[in-house]
Amino acid sequence: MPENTQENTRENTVFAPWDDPEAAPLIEFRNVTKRFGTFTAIDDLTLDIYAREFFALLGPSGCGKTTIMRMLAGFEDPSEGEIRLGGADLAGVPPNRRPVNMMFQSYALFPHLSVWDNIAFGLRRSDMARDKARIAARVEEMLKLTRLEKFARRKPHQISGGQRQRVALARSLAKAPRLLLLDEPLGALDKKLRQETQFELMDIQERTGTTFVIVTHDQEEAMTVASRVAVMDHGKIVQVDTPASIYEAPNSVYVADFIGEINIFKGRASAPKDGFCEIGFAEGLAPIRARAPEDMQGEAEVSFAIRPEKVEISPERPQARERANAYPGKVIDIAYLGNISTYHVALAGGQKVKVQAANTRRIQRRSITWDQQVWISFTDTAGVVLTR
Amino acid sequence: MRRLSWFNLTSLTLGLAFLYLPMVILVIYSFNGGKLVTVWAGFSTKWYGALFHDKAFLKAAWITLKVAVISSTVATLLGTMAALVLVRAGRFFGRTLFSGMIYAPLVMPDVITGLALLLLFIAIGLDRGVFTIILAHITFSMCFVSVVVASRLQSFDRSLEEAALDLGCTPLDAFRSVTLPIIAPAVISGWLLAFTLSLDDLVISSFTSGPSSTTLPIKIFSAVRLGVNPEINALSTIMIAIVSTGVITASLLSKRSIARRAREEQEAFAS
Repeated sequence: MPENTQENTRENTVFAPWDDPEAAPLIEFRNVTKRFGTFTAIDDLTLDIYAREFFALLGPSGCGKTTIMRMLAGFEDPSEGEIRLGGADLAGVPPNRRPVNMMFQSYALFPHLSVWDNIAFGLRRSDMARDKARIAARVEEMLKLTRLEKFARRKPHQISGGQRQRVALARSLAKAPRLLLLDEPLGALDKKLRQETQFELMDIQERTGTTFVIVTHDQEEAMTVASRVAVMDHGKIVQVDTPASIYEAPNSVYVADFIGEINIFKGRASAPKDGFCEIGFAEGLAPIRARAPEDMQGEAEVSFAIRPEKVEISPERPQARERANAYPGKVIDIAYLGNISTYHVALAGGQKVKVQAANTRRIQRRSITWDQQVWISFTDTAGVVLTR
Repeated sequence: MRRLSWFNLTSLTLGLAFLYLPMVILVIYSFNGGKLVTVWAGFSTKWYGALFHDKAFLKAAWITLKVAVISSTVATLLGTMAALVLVRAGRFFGRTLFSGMIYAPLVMPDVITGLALLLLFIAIGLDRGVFTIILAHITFSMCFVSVVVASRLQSFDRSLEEAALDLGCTPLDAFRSVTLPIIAPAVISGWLLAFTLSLDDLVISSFTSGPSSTTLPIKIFSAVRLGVNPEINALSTIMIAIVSTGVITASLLSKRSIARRAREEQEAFAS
């Protein structure tokens, strides 16, 4: 019975070692800077990644996310600062001596070796090199994990793209690394296969208990698979947080704009009163009432950011009291996407607002059409006030 | 299949005739029974028999083969190493000069290379013989090898090597077990190229050979100056046969492997 209780509590605790001051991170970046000639790829990065995490590095190409990964794998050395893995400094440790494996964007499968030999490649160069039976058992286990048993004897060019992706995953997991790096692992797959594979990846990550660090430029992918996401820009991490926090509470216009769709109102905020401030964004329109950020004091130039699905659209002025903000506008565009519709509404001041509404009923909202005068409204907590 | 028009057929015939008529005549006359090269005196294979009893020719053939095998092997080794440095080492002091110098012998006239080598061998007091021919052949053929291997390395996906390192290989092990097997076709064709270049080199060999080290091309050339005899025709026919068998086999094999690969890829994506 006691064992059972313990099991239950563990199941019920949310996996969030980053909130636990006692937890020791698996990977620590301490003031890491990486320069290539005069170009600074990584600029004074400090970051902790914990064991069993599925950590996503997200950013546009050239933001330095691949450099972080290559420094972890040992293909690049930091110019300054140090990287620790399980407490030990990684400086000067060559790639073949790190308990880290990488799944390459191009998969980098060895074309002259069969699927079986590709997976066994790393094992033959590990401490089980002499134990043929153990290698065989481990390869079979990996084949089973990635459902590749039927293709063991094939060469990489004899299997499909999705199967190649799984071989690459099996090969990089075979040595049971403490850390698995995935460089745009699903980039070469088509959309449907990519979505399936995302769930498969999460499943495999959970079953093997390996720490995964994934590099991607696809924000949807990062949101789906990751326990935490680091949004990067020009060699710096702008925000590290859970997908939900990144989406609902971005810390900057850059993050808000990079993740999902968003409406930005630029304006001047009044000094906060009772935790709320008023943002004047256009002549002749009522200011937006919104919750002020905690660190805000006095007036400030701010951006008010609100997701399209948190804005309501209606033909009449909404009566509900809790809708603190309501503005008239004209529909200039409608995109019907099946599950949702996106309306582009121009306000009197010229500001354009995107509004998303779920099409929960088959014949709903057909009343709103092009050029119609409508009202948009949102509550005073629906958006966030950003000071940078 | 489309039928060839009259114009295309004529062009094809003329082109092929231009290329192969001399060789066809040579082959036909190698079976000439008479002593005179230009007068047909009935079919015979006696010149082939005579060839195999001619000690001087056999010795020259043996020297040529020895020189070709050794020089092309060493040239392949050196040329592959040079190609690796050229493609991989990134920027280093004197890189442009180095790459220029690797490729210079490609366009250098043979006479000049031969003369330069001759002067060098005399200056350092090296007796001319099989060894000097081998050295000379390595010198001019290694740049061909490095060109062939470098072009393959340029399209080689570096992440394959990184994957090998990542999976626990030392750099040397990664080269041996991943890079080399993948670039092997280029290395082999580099070797074949060096081998053929060495086999038929006349100019540089004659500058660097000594009295006891006559190669086959030198032997043929000096024999022809005294008049073409049917024995030479027979020898040339044998060489043509060897070369064409090699080329045809190689192209058939590569064609078959390409076809098989395409078929297998199609099957993989259909399944």
